[in-house]
Amino acid sequence: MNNFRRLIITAPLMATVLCCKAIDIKGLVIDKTTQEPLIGATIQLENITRGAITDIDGRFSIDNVEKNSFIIVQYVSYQTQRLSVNDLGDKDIVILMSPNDMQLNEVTVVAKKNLEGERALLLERHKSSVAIESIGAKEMSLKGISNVEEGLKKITGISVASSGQIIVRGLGDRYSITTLNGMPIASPNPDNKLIPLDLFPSSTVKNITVNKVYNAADYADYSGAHIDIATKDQNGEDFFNVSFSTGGYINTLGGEFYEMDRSKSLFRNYNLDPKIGDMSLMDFENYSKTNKVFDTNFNVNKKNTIPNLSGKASFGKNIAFENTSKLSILASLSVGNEMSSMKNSMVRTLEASQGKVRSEFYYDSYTNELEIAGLGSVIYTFRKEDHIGYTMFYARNIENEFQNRNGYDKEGVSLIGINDIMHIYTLQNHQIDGYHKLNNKWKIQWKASFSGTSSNEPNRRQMMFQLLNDGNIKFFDLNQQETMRYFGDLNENELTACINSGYQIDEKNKIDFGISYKRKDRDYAGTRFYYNLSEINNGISNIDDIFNTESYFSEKNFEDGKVSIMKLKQPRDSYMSGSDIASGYVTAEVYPIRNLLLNLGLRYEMSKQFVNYHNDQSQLERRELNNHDLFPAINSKYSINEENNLRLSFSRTITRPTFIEMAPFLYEESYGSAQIRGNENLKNGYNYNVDLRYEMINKNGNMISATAYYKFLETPIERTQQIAGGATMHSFNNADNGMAAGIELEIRQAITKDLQVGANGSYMYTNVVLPEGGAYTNTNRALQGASPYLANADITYKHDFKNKQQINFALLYNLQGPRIHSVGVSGLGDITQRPVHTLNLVAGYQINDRVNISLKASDLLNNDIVFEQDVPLTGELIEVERFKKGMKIEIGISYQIK
Amino acid sequence: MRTLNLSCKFMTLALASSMFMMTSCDKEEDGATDNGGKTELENGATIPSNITADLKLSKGNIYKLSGGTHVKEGATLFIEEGVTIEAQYDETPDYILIEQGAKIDAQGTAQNPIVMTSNNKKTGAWGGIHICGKAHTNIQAKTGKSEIGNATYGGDIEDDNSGIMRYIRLEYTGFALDAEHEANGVTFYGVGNGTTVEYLQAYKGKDDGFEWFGGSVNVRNLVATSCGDDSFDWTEGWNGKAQFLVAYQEASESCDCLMECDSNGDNNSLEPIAHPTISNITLIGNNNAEKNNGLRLREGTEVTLYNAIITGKENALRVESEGTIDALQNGKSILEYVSISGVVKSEDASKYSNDSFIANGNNLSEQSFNFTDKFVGTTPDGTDASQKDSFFQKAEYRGAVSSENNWTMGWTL
Repeated sequence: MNNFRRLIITAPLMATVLCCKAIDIKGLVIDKTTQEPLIGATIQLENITRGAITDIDGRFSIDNVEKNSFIIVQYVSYQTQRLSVNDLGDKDIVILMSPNDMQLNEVTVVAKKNLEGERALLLERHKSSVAIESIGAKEMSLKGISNVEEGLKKITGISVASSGQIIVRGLGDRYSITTLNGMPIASPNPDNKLIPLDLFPSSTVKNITVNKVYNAADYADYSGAHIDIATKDQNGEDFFNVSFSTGGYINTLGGEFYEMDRSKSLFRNYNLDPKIGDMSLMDFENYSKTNKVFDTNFNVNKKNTIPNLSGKASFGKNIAFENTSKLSILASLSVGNEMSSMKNSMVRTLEASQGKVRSEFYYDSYTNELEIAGLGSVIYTFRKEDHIGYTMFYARNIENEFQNRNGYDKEGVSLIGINDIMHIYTLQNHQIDGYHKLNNKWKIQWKASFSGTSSNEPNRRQMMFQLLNDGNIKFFDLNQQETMRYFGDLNENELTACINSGYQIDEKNKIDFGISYKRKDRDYAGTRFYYNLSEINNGISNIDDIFNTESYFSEKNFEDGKVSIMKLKQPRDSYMSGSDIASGYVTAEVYPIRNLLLNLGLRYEMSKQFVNYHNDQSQLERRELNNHDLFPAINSKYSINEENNLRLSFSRTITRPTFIEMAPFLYEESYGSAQIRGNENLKNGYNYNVDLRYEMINKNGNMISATAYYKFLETPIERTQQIAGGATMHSFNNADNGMAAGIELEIRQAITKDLQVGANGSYMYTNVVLPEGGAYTNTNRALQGASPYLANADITYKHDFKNKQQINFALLYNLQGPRIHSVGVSGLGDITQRPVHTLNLVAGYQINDRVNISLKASDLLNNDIVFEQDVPLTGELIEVERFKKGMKIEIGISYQIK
Repeated sequence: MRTLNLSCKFMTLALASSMFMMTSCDKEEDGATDNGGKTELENGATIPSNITADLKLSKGNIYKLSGGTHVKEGATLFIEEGVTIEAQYDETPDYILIEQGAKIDAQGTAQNPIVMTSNNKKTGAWGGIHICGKAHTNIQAKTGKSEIGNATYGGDIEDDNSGIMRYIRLEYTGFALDAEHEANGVTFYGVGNGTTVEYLQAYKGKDDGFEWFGGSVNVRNLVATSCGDDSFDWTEGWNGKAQFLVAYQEASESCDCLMECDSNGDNNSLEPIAHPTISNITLIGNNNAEKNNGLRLREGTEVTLYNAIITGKENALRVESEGTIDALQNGKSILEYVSISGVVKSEDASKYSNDSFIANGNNLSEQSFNFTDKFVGTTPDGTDASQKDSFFQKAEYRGAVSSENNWTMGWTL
């Protein structure tokens, strides 16, 4: 890898030789008194719009600087310096900056900013015309955050439900959007609007920016947050990095581990033979008598737990061309596995008049995960500031869970159940984008993206056994669905494109406008296989080993018809859906008075959504929802002085129903979960948002921010419950109205040069008024998933020794207040999750400039996750669910060549 | 109305830039002929998916059923004697659903019953009949949705009339509707007592034979033979009357309760509490070791029961839940002239036990019974229920089918 080095050194040298008038300058910008490096300081070449920004270590470099010229060094609230290039020479220089109370003028930052560092991001936040929050790669690394989902939990007012749903300010998943490098990204998870964010490992992420106010340049379907994931790009020195880590859950390591037999490794797909899927019911019955349909059975194998292993490799390289254009290449790949188990988890249901337990199951679960992610980025920079880039992101998460449960059902039958569920999420995303500065007034930016996502559940298997009074075990054959397999496939494609243009009216005022288009297609199909075991069951007195039932599925038993399989792929077990959104916007940034920045925007969206589905009668139906909407947004920033801002925002945004919500076909979220039937009368919900924020960000990276918000939700879409055939069925309705209001506080303070503390907290109130006539007990309640309070606190310590050695520690605390987990029906109160306290510890040691070792311990408090249900008729609060994943410890090593 | 609003028989999907266009439906006019105001469906035709105007299935004809047929508000489905409806065994669940405000008029005769079956003579082959009425259900929302068809039921019109059903044999129902539900033979959802239901047999269904979700409908002369789940099942506060019910579970079949009776399992206190009045029943189990409950009174239900024989289950009579047991103890529920094999199994024997059961002098436990022809046979010394309510016919014996009056002859299997 020494070639990289040589390249960096020789390329500028050649340039210098070719043009004896130019030199390369590089150096360090530090605070004169504290000697601390200043991150994000601008070094601008006088009279030319070219320059650089200092990186996390305060360093910068600019190639091809003309001798006899001057550079301007600027940093917020420091005295600007004008330095002669002749004086600097081509040695490493140190620029000392003195504090100043002079206002920082807007500088056109022409060099690419390195937006991985905390302070650079803070500066961005400070400068931004809309209120944003962000977390960068450096902070994620310091805090041991391994993926985007974990990163989001650190941001004020955001929590993640146990199903992976992101909840922002108490507003569920439907109120937020996710983009990848600014482009919308499809979700392969039909239950959630947002893509599962653990698909994005931190090693591929430059930063996560959360925008909780609306900006008309964005798609308008959010009120909670617009979460943008910026992937890494090559920006800085060439490098090559490899790292490995290992570790595991304390409760899992060394223990026994079970899963059902598999014919293929987790790396490969297990697909249903299409020939079988398309067979008629009768043909399949005959076929399955004499042919082996599946290459797995229901046997359960015991394995040893192996420690989690993960490996990452990435490299970045710049290729400079003579005409000052540059090609930057970055590639990153990560592969990791994880095994976890939970023992003795419990779930029960209650009766409402006496609070007696109707059904109760205890279960052990064993989860094996494999996560693969790859990122590639090529950026061609030319004409100094123009660039064209291509980014490819690929992710594949495979989760296999085996569960073994026993208990009794609502009819008091003692049951033992085993099931094995494999879930595969894949994402493939390609983006191209370009930025062109036409002249000092005009710029154009364009982007296009295609993403293909899929969610597959190949070969979900379940067996149920009945435990008899005499201790013997037989197949539970009351319903034909008890021993079964399921295959589900969901594919979604999303194509998006946008083009924006900006016009700089004068030094400060500007106008931006653009158009964008988004098309999404999704199709889903599921096939079930039910095993008829009644006949063979009559001849069994006891099943000796429920983990080894292969002998009951012998060829002979199939041939004799003692065991048979029914294949069922009803017309209503598949649907096709799509949406088109075309939009245009205009925003203007104006200063009506010197310190007041107004960002005024208006967006128009034309949306068309449709679902083609089959009703219960097996007739094809189509449901459409088409709208034209206007979304105004005002974001204002009043700069009290260079450190203090006051921001006020107003906006109107939309919440559209998801595909499964807007059409009345029957759908089951996941194994054993509630049945859902959408609502053909469901309309869009509209959100009116007001945000007021005070923000202080100073030169040392200290920050205080306080926000108050209020949202009025007009006809919000809420999940509702009704009784269908004696069971609870979930649907969706437009509630009359709802609201969310809250306050948020965020503090970041450097105690000493090495020690920093940070904390954020939010307190919120949410309420929704539901129509009468549902099965739900409360018609007036908090939003599902909303915690009244959330808090984060962390202490980080980082110390640099000589010889590039460094140690770092971080202690991170997270508190998630109680919240409604699911809504109570038929006189039972809501099920509430008890508050969750989490404490993580991260430590790292940089041995030299190449080798780093790390230690991470997650969930040190090792608490159970507990859910309780209120029984209003007896006044009791009864525990209805409990599980614990527990503490996890990992050690890692990384090796980097620059 | 002369034209039929029939469903799409042929549908084609055309993919045009990822938007699906549906070609217009070919109107199916299969032999629709005029006959005294009703449209008559030609022999051999497939019954349409949506019946929006009166439709007649004529005597002796054979019709196909493919997918779900809904009889819509204001329309009546007439089925004459001797009609056979054959559900097509494929991946579409086949069922007939009478929506609120619609009617069925299916009148077979003992000599010439209506037969609803499948072309695959196997348990679980099709989805049965579902009737949604406007009478009460005790669920909190006061209306609910059917197990299949997403049809609304429930209300406060207790004399609501969903039509007439008599002499119908429903064979091989119990199709797996979805991952949670199987189809019953006949399901009564909030059906009112203006409806006439008599002489029905559910034969070898995979799920329940007859199930009531609330309602006040009265029924007579029902036979459930070898149904895989419960032969009779009520919940959501059914309070109709019933006379002459037979449940018979053959030894070769695996069947659950003979009669499973709940008021409301989610909340036992929801009103109205189920309280049907029943006389002359014969419930015969097959002594299955794991499915050992006969008449199972639970989840708050009450009952008035006369003239019953229950046998062939380890727990011929099982009582559970506070509300149910309290009602038996305080006399809200009445069991008279009930004979069972074995003894009463009670969740709370301090309140209600086998001793309490036999204390009235006419209830008998640990009895043995003899039947001819599966379930024919009664024991003397019953009560005359007709004295208590005019719905009941005089039948002063225990059991449903006496050898003198074998009403199951000729039309049941």
